[in-house]
Amino acid sequence: MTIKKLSSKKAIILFEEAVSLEDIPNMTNIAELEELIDKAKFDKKTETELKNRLKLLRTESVEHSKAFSGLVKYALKKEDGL
Amino acid sequence: MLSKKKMDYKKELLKKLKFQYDFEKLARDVYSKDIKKLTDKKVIKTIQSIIEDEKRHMIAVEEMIDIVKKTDLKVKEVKAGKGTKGKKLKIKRESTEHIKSKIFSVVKELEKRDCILISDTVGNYFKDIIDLLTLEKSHRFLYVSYNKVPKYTKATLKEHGVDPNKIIFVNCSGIPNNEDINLKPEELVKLSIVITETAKRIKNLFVLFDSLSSMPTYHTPQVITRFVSSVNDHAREKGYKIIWIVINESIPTTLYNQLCPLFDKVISLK
Repeated sequence: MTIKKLSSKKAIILFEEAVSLEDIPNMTNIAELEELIDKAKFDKKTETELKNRLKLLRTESVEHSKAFSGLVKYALKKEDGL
Repeated sequence: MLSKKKMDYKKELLKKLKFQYDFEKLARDVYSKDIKKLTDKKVIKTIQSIIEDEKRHMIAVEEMIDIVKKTDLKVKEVKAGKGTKGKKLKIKRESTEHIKSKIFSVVKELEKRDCILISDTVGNYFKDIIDLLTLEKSHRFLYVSYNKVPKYTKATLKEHGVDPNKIIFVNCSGIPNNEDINLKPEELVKLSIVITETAKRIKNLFVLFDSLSSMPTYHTPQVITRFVSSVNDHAREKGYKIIWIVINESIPTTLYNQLCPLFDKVISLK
């Protein structure tokens, strides 16, 4: 049985949608969370606990955005689909 | 007992953490659905690893919610000492004010220059765009969404009190919709025409290009440089403003260095 590939055009749509999701609502909310944690002035231990987790979200979200952008480039090259 | 201000921060923080949890869950579900449509092993592996990250993120956000909920005892309360009655406690200068003052410097530059490049980080750039659109709300904007789907841009703007209906969107994401001017990311000539024609129709137009960093996916550095140069020349000739956004992490340094001399001013918001 031949497995049907997704057309490159449709794959690009999925990946660009993912880049938009990661970059806009997600990163904006993470930036605002950072500001709020600073403003709230938690004790040092609590602040560190919150910021470490937020750092993980930020770093990996940036990586996701880059990965999906890379997949857009990859899909553009793969004319026969993915 | 928590002060009113701290209660507000806590409430706001919990609201934003809930949003973050919902986002991570949505991302996990969307990517899990997407993966079923694909057959390429390399792509599947990449997305699978992202799905695993999203699951860990959901746990991390849940933990953050728990930490914040338990802060009643942990938050340091500033006790009003002798002589402080009636006086406002000074709060350390906050990072938002720092960024806002930088955005204000962009606004100032726009009074005397036509073509500005804003260099920013992926983590902050959209928040800075919101601040810019808020500060320049008296102007009409043409928002070129080069590789982002405008529905997310519009929803986030709306949430932050910026009316997206007052902005003209050029959607170059390749996912057309009925509300915007739809172009393919490859169609730079058509994009130039849209910018030119809109500038003819609307006096004192501001064009916002989001973002230059995504252009190398579709075009060579030579084509990008020619395009930017010609759009900037036209803006200077016709007297409208154009603000280009570049994400530091996502543009090759050689291209960035080639582009910088094409603008009247380069402002770093890092």
